[in-house]
Amino acid sequence: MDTLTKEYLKAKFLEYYSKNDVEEPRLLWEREWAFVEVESLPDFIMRRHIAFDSYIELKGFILKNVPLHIYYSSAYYEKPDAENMEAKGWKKADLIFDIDADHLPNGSLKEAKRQIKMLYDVLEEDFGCKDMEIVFSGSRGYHLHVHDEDFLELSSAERREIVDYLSLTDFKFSRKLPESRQSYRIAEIMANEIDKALKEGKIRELFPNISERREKMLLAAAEEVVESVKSLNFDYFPKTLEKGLTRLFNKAAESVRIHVDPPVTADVKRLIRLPGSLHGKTGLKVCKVSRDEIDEFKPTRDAVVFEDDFVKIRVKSNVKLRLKEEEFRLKKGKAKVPEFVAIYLICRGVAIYGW
Amino acid sequence: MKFLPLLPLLEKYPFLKPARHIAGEAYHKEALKEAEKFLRFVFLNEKYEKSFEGYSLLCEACEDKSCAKFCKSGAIKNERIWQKCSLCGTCFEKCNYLTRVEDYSRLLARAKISIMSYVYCRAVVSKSEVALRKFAVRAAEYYKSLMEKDSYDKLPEILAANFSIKYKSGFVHVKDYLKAAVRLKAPEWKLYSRSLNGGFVRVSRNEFFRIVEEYLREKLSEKVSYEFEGMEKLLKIVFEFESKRKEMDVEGVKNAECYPPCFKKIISDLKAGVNVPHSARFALASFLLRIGHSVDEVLQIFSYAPDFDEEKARYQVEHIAGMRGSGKEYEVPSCETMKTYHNCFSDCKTKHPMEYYRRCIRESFGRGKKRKATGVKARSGKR
Repeated sequence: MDTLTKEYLKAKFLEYYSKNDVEEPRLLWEREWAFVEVESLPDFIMRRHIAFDSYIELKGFILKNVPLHIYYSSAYYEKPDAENMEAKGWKKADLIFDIDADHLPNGSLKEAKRQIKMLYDVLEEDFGCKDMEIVFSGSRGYHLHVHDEDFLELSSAERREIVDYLSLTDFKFSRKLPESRQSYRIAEIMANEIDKALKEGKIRELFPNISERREKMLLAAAEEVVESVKSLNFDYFPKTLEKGLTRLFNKAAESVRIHVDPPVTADVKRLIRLPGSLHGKTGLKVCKVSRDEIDEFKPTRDAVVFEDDFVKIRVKSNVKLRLKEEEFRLKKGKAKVPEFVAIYLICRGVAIYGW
Repeated sequence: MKFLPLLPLLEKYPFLKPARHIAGEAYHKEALKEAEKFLRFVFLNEKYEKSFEGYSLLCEACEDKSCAKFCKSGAIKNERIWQKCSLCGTCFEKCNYLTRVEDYSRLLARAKISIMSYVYCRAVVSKSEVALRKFAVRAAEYYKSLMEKDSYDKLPEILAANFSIKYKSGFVHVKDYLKAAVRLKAPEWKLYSRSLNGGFVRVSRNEFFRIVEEYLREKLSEKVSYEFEGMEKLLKIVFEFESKRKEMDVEGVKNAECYPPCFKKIISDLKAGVNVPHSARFALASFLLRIGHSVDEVLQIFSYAPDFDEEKARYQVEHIAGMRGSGKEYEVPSCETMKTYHNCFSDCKTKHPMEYYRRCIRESFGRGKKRKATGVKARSGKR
């Protein structure tokens, strides 16, 4: 990135931080802070082991240095600015989950949203978490922070067990499924599939090798069949239909499975993006979204913070993007685009500032 | 009378927190004898049986409740609110309940002997890492077996209070459950096998004791330093065990045939130029170092990787070996961790890659294969 572009970016980020507050994490002074500055580009060099006593001090640092990326530790430390991890004195850490669209089977932000909602609800219902925040990462996913005191002292292995619960690691079909909520969730979906197939006369699609006798029997007892599957009882389906059951189970499990990124949750010393800061690779705002508002939340509309004054940029290759409900198709070369598009493309590294 | 309601409990479960208030060498000889019996049970598999008097907490029959004013947690109303109690022992110390002096003395003596023998055992095993580990496992197991035979209905509540476990009639808080469950590898302990509701996991009485066993094992793994007369005799049992164990040790034996399937696969992936994830490389390096390979030997294996960068790799491997950074040697990840990171590729019915390796090595010795080409490199120092 050339100096002019860097200067422009820095000026714009400064403008944002002068007008807007960033989130103040709880016990800010027990957190380690880390920053990536514009000057380091194209390298991604993190300045870390920094600590602040107060919000004012943090804000002062941001306005003075105008970082591209701002992170703080999920962990609370005795000495957050100690350079050696051992010397920091780990006390506890927020429980963090990351759902990244790029790690999902169908890689969309829409699916990431469905998953983060599911995650929130499972944590609330099953784990009894009450103090949670959903954060749009400013790029391709969502983070969820749990602050309930009960969960802050969990070790890495214990957090990983929670990951296994959510992502159903190694959870396989058996006729004796454990009586857990996860089993019932899966069985419910299986039962609904069977119900639908029975009603539409398509049970053979689920169980290609089903005998006519068995098919008739299932149809005759449809209601009980569905209810028994819901209560984890598969006795209506003999051993010969095991394959079909397993397939059905796997499909149902897939829609219950929450694809949280395991290392993020297992890491009790994670550096995580600060809500209210800007993501330096998109220029989008890392923003808190409440559970009630998330359905309405559109990252490409609601996380855009810059203005629409026109800016001259040079695009490095043809790009297509959608921001603020508008589609932009740009050819390689000179272009005049709204500021929020310019900043997005510069951050992505596909454009430079000026003609 | 001081601690009266607790005495039978302390005799049976001398690890309970209030035990420290009545510890003392008053019955040194008896305690020493008891300790020897217990150590012989732990290390030499000798029989150990003790009978206990039936009990229930006398507080339940007590109407006085004048002890309530000493409770800082407000846990004593008409009944004891176990969820608020931390078993600090203060109320028991101020107990006004009276009984015949000879009964009290008998109960007190029995409790004191049991507590001191427990202290002696812990002091003795603290002198040897291997013995300490073995003791923690066996003793925790033993106390759990007592709990299982114990029919007192408030026992789970008392134990929960002692270990600060959030527990209420058959439900344990998930954070406390996890602490034990992550070490229990049977599938029924996986969190997703459990009914989890609003933060609480349903457990049976015996399952709860199994959880307590893990807490207890952790407590018993802590070293205790205490010197006493007659310690040498007890130490002999421990050191004998230690030297026998060392003969069985397979560390430093390098035998590629015995690598567990996960590491065989990772190595063959590396050789095939497959891009192996960081977590798998970390696991492999920690494993190879653990079984006695040098940093250079480990690098040799990693050099097959398509993106091999010697300088970077050396830095990382040295870090894992504990030669850099915190100076802490990293543990080989458990099978469960391997699974979470999708680095487990076969169902080899083990809990830990090292367990697989050790078993295979021992079996290969058993089959009469001599330690020829592989060679034994003794690793000095601990573990």
